Amino acid sequence: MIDLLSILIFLVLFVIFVFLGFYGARWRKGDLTKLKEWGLAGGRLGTFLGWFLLGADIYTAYTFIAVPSSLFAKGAIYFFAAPYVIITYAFAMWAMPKFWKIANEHGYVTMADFVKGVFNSRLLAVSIALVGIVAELPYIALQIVGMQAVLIALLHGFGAVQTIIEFSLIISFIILAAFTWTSGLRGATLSGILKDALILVSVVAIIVAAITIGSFHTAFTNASATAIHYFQLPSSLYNAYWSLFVFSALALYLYPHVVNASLAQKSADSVRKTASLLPLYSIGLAFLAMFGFLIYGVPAALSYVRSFPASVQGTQVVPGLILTMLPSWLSGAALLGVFIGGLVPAAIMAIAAANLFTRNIAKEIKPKMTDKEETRTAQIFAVVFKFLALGFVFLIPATYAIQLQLFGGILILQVLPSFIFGMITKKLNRRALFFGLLTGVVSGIYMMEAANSYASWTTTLIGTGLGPVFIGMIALAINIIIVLVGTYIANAMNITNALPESIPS
Amino acid sequence: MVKTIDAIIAVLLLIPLVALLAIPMYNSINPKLGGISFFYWYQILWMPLSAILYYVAAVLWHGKEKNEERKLKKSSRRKTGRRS
Repeated sequence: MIDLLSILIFLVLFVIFVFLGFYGARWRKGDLTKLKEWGLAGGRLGTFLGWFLLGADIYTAYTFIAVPSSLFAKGAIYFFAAPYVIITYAFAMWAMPKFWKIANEHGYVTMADFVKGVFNSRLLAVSIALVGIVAELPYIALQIVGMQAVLIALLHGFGAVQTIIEFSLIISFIILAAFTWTSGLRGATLSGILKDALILVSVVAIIVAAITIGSFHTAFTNASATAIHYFQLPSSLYNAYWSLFVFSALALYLYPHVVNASLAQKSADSVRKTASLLPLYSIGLAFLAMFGFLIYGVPAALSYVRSFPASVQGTQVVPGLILTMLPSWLSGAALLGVFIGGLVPAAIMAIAAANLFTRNIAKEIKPKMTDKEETRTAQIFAVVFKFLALGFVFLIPATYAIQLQLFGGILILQVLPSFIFGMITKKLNRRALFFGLLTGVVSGIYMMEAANSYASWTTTLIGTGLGPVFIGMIALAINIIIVLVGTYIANAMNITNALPESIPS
Repeated sequence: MVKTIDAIIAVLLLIPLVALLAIPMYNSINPKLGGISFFYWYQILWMPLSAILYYVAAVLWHGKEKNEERKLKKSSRRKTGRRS
């Protein structure tokens, strides 16, 4: 139920949460004007806190709003998110400890630092940084859509639907900008603990409520009567399913904010152990995803969702179930959990993008920055990037918010050859890597536009001879082919990545 | 010996991937569990199973790294010993 009590509880908990965010800025005191302190929590997090931090990073509005929304709109195909958040950790266990050690040894803070070090190419390093930043923007946009969805649910009784939708977006954005400005990653960690506690309570509460009402069976009967494939995949989508989950899994640990969180841990071993246990977090994601059809077992929630225009319907699945199935005091708390589930990750992503900009782009232009100038630049650009992210919100109908994350995935996958192959071999040619990256990004954007007929984004699948497949896979394949062919040609012509210092004088 | 451990770690990490790539095998409605189709609960079941396999892999990996470090130290000690 939504009433004044649930709104009051939402507000009180939000104040506590904000207080923790500010307090976090003074917790385990370090010099906050230093960029590394502001962005990486001083590198002092152990396995336990790191586990919470990664949970806060990875389980976001994507999990609470975007996945259930797309499952509701399109069916079982979007359950790809479940295998995605299993196998991504196997990839992480291999790649991240490797990177942690290299970064620790050479003092790298970002992926672009590493690329600059290995391939001795400023052009490549700056391009990697730029792609990292741009890839974060749609992901931030998705978080804003999630925050907006919660405010729509809280405020839907107070005015005309369209007004509430727009008002909610503005408020979400203002809160996000103010929150990031004041405290860096540390604040996000402390508040992440409250967030995870709230989320866990709400997920458990709603699943228990669902089971006691026995609505899984009703949901099955009612949802089976629709034209959407809810309970199994049509065989035409097999290739879409595995390409979505395999390439999303490869993309996750390339995002700058996820790389940051891995580097913030105490040791390579704790990076690996933390990742190994994260599939347990995924069980909550799977249940939230299934709310996309479970809602057919709760008529009140279904009619609530259907009272909205189709473009936002999906985003109201989880808020709708929270409102109809939980007592009002609990629904206030649960909605806050979902709200900060968008807020905290959005802040972390904006900080990561700003860090990357300051360190690998601004400093290339102005090498001698004082620590204070660095921190100021990062703070300002964290806000700038949020405005740019807002632009992405308008590219999609909110119901298809998951396409924002998938589009971010298409872009960030293109850094894989430089970053991941770069940890295995130094034999790749830097120019070939650059042209691979460029072609991967351009072809990815082109296929995205073509697949959506140059209109609002509702899919990241493109038709091929093998049926629809994830665009990210094709763009990466093009990228890798160019890298390999380019390196072969460069070797044949005796062009190397030789360091300037090693050229005999 | 080291190679056997590498292979075991690789297998532990790859089992969930193989199990989840076998889409035609689990893409069915029955047997249902508590009203949920097999397609869903099969994949959910792989979450705790993967955590166990991955954690075992992480522990083995840590042991392997410690072993390698010890060997490195030993060999460097031997070298310095010969020199003195």
